[in-house]
Amino acid sequence: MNKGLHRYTLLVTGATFFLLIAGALVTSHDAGLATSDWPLSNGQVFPRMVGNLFWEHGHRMVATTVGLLTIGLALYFFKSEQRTRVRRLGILALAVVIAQGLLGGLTVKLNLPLAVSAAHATLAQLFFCTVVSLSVFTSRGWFENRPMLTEKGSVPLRYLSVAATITIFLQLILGATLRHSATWDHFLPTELVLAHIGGAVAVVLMLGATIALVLKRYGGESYLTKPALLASGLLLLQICLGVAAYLTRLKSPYDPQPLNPMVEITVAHVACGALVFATTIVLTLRIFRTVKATEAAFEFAHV
Amino acid sequence: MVNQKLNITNSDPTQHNIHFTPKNNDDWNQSQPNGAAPMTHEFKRAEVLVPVKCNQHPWMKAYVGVLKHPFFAISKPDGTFTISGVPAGTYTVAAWHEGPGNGTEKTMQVTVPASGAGKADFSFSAATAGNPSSLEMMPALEFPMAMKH
Repeated sequence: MNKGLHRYTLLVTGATFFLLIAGALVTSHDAGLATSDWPLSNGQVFPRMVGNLFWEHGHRMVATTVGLLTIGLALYFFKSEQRTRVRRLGILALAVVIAQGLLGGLTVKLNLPLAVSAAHATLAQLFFCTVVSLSVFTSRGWFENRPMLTEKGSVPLRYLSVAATITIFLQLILGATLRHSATWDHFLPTELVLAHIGGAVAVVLMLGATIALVLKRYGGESYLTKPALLASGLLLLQICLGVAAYLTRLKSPYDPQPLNPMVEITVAHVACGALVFATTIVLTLRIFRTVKATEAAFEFAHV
Repeated sequence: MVNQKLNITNSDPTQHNIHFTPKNNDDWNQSQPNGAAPMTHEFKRAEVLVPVKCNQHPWMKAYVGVLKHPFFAISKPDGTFTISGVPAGTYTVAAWHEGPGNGTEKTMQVTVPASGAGKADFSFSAATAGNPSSLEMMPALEFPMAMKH
């Protein structure tokens, strides 16, 4: 295990989480078009941070920092990582962050079209997913010798956890589309709200089943139960934040500008969604690390 | 008017951005620092009221009426309005009231006789204007009425 590489990856992961919050603040403050310039703001590298330009340009500065950190990450993995797939993932992270930066520029130059804005928000979660995975792959727990567990039951936990991760990712896409479909001064489209609520039910079922099976089958394995319990707590918090975000968002079109608590609660909902996603990825990777694939699961994998 | 040049000047000691969010015309967003030269913009299609916002200062909002003709009016404090010089014929009158989203627009068919006047009565519910407690923070609002063919 390379402690330095792991710590650096954790630093990039933390910075990326902060960047997600900074991006969510831009959307909630309706600051995405505070300047019509990109990559400069009003023709300047360091403009006066007037009004919403603070959020938009602040987001760009944090994004630049994460971009530079990711260049370092890719170089670090290229130089130090022995496992080919993990090394490639480290380099892929750089490609993702470059694509994300270009998408961010497109959102400004095209005046925030829904598809591009939602893609920008979705790719942000994918990048976060990538660096979280790299953090897991470089962690001490991943390298420790631990006995492989066998699948205990008819439902393979490996595939259930993957299904939960995919469900959460689809829900994140729905959430991003919903958030970018209307600014604070317009009402959210009912059909997208209903789809997002439906997605929440699906996430509760899939992730809830995964957590329940982990606790039931491997209750003594803290390597699995810790992320499972954390995911359950975050999921509960996320549902509460989702209800609160919806209620505050219902009132925001009547307000003279984006106000708290709408801004804070919707941003917290985005951030908590990312944490649910990250924790589920950690859980899924740990399941793949410790739970042996069953014959049935193997066959399923080759269908 | 359609295709008329609209002059945009920033006389504030701070920068703004002008962001038109029309339904029938192209979306347009330009930053305008304080002291910058005036900008011009044209709308190619008629639209009763095009919302304009400043994304740097989200409480700043305005509306631009774009018509193919000069027949429009802004209602008085008592809600009445008069559009003079309209030739005889049948028209669609559109009335607009500010509120959540892009406000509320209502239309009505009105016949103007050769001599005399046509009449159009519109009513907007309190819900159209939104929650008064939130809007108390706004400066006095004007509710322009506009007419289109």
